[in-house]
Amino acid sequence: MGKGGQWAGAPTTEGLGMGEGRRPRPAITPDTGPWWDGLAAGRVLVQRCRECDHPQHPPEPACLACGSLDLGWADASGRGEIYSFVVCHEPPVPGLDPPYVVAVATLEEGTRLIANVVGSAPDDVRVGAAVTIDVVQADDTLFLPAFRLVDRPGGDGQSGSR
Amino acid sequence: MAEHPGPFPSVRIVGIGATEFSTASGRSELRLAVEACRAALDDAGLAPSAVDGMATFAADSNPEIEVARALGASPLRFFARTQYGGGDYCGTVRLGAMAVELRLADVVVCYRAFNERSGGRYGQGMGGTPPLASADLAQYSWSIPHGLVNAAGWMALFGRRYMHEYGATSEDFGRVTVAARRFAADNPKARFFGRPITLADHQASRWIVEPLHLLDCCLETDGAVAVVMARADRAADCRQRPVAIRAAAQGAAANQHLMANYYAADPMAFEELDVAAAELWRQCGLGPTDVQAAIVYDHFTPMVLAQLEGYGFCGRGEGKDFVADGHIGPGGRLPVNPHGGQLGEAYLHGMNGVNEAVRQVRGHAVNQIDGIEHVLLTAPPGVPTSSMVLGPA
Repeated sequence: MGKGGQWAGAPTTEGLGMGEGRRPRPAITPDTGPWWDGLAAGRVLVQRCRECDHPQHPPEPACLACGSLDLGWADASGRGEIYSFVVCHEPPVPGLDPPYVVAVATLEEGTRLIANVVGSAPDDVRVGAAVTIDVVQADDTLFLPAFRLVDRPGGDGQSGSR
Repeated sequence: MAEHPGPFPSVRIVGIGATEFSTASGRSELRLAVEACRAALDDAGLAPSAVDGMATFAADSNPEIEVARALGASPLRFFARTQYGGGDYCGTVRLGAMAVELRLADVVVCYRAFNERSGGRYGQGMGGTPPLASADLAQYSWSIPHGLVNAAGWMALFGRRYMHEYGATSEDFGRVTVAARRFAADNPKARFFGRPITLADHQASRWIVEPLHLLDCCLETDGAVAVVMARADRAADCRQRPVAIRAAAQGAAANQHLMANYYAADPMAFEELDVAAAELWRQCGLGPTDVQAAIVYDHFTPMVLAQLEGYGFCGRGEGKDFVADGHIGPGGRLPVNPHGGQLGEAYLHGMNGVNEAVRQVRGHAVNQIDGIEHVLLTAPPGVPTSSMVLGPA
């Protein structure tokens, strides 16, 4: 289980394709609110069962492994691998500048997460590529997780881990 | 497994109807619904006053009572809806069939009507509506802030993974559209009547969401479709040859999500398809070798391959080979969507495929397949799904 403080420093906007307008907003429920609050605090959280330690994402009202309603939160390790990805050209989406990459990554915890791949050209993204997970500030009030390729052509191989 | 009559032995599809399929109907969705229902009742030779039950999609903007009133139906004894859009189009017909079989209504009309091209287009994506704190909207929150806003994007993620796991290419996806457009070219009702394409056309079409080209995506359409069901004794007095529902199934995975369904241990296993397929074949005792044509939900080409695999026409990952070998086109082992499908005729949440399956069983389709005993209808995975087998009564 991760420790707090792994996301030192303010979320950045580096590498985000910032188009006109504000991105589509998430609908937040009492079950999912702590996860979004975590992002605003610079943390990517994974819901964890306090009874059996099962990690799950997206957040649920109950543990999918043991049924417990006693659920807590832990920091994600911040590492994962791309399960699949797409390059979006259409339709126009406020706050995004096409073409941009959306990926599903399998996190070290075993859960999956959807986020943009930032800081790399779309052509450099591959299924199976290792990624780190950052928090980025998409606009005035929206904080999102984002993936960065660990091995970036022309990159330092470290960017995004902090 | 021996063939047996299934859960709906008394039910017959007695009428089908549709409006024209266009990019701009110029009419209200409610009027489209009424026109399609009237056409289906005319086809059956039934008066609107015979109708006492209605079923539609939760996504439909036309309340059952509004349609019934304008149609001139009898007081309704049955009205109900199914969720999950096109994934449950067979489930919508099944809902009506259950009402007829259980004698909850005598004549049920199922309909789907929308101005999906000139009005609100699904392809334009979600995000315009203010967030509400309910689970049905919260489920989209994991994708839409990242710009993954519509079904093209959600299904493209499956498409990319399919390519990775099975070595499929964009051309493999494109062959699905080439086959659909070849059928559509012969169908005067199809949006793409007289306009077949080549694989090169597919490859040259612009990207929507890589790995999907424009020609991997269905046709947003204005229009409406309706289906009328009644009991067998009444069907005998109707105008058309009655069609039986041999089986009708729904399926959702244990860890099912809507559209962005990437959270199972192996998302490409598409457990929801397996659930629906097992239930379908169990109900009727039939199998993939017993059907001579199929209506396969073709909103996005990769998902056609998954359905061919899920219903047992080939092994997992072999859908691309099944298609490349020509089995889904004219003269193939399993002609798929002889009306042109949602890639070639119209995208109407699958309901135009129900009309085509009925025509194939009756024997008067534009691209009539020889020797029809059973037609399979399937819906896509990635959402709660459904399927059906139709045959002669």
